[in-house]
Amino acid sequence: MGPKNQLTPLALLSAAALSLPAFSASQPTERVVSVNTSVYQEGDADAAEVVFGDLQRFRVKTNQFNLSAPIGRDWSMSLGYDNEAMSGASPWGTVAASDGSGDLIMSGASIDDSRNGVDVNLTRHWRGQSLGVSVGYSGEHDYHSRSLGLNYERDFFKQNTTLALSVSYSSDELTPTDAQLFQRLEKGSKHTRSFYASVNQLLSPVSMLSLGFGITKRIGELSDPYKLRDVRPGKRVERTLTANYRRYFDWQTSSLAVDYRYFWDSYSVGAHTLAMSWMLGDEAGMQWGPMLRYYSQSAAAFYTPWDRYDQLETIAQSSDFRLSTFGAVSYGLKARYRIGAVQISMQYERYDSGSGYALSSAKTEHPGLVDFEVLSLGAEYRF
Amino acid sequence: MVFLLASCQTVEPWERDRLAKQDMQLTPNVLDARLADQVFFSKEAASGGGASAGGGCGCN
Repeated sequence: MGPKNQLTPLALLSAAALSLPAFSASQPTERVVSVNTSVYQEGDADAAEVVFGDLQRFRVKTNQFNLSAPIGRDWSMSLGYDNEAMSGASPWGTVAASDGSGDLIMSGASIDDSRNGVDVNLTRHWRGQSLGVSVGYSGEHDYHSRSLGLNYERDFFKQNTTLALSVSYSSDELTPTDAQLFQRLEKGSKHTRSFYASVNQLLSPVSMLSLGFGITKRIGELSDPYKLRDVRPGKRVERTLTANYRRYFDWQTSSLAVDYRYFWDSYSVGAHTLAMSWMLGDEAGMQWGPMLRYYSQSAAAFYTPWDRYDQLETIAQSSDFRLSTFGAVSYGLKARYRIGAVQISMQYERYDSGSGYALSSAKTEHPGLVDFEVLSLGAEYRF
Repeated sequence: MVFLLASCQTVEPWERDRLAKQDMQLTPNVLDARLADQVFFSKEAASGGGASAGGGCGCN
């Protein structure tokens, strides 16, 4: 070993302490300011499958900000802000088509809305454990959500194992526009309670695994007030099992991330999500890599391909494409370049959905299934 | 889980430089993660699987 590599144990420990992974309960050591701007664009609806309304679907411009920082010796905080401006048309309902499938009734393209969301988190760190509280608000002209969360983390076995627990509650208010004109719900509310537990385990100096379980209970107005006929049960219980794996390779100084989630709920929806990304290059300079995501869900028990006006309004039904059987493949590229304390990032992702991608077979494909692209540009400053 | 823990080697603090890399974190970029959560939540029935306690939206 040459003189350049002769580090003392104290220097090694200090270097390690400066770079403790985020999946321990340790206090962060750096202040990080990050900004991001993105454009989300959905593909147009197929004119042959639309009987009314506009074909141009959603476009969303998003600007984001985040600040995270240690405070003193035992505290840390984060502040997040999102602003979205969206416009375009969305499906109002479906009618039976002559070929046995459904045709879309779309809204006009006059939907023009914005959303502002803010989240603040404050965390107290002790030796080997931390407790954080977070509050959030998200507001649109017809939707307001307020949330509160608690997060607890505890390290075991020389910080090789971390247990993370979180609970959250949100209270949402809906005041749909043009309620009297279109005989929509004038005012409604829903309440969401969530619990999530995970265990993060270091497997080796180059790999780690996290396993998690979550349960979410939603109660209240869960139907979509903008649909012509949408009647959903007023209670929904969702469960998730997750596995996240990270592996570092000295070859090409690359990192592999594999994330899997199984979701099932009281609407009888079952869904698999598998996402993988691979980043190559030294994070002190240029990095790039591909990402791939596969998603498949089965339909809700009360899903119907077209709206059933022959059914009583008390019987659950929905022709929302998001409750149909479908699958999706998304793929993209991301690249980052660091110059000193500043990192510039760029990401492109394309999402293609269809009933043919689903693991289970669908009788008909919903005409409202959407394809979209997302392009984002970001910057981060660490100090 | 017991088998998993038993089969793991202890990783000492001075061996964690590669585990501390940005892309080895569960959330390498918090803004990318928030954006992805929002996009997929608005287009798919499944959501969750994380600890975030952010507010909802009228998109789903």
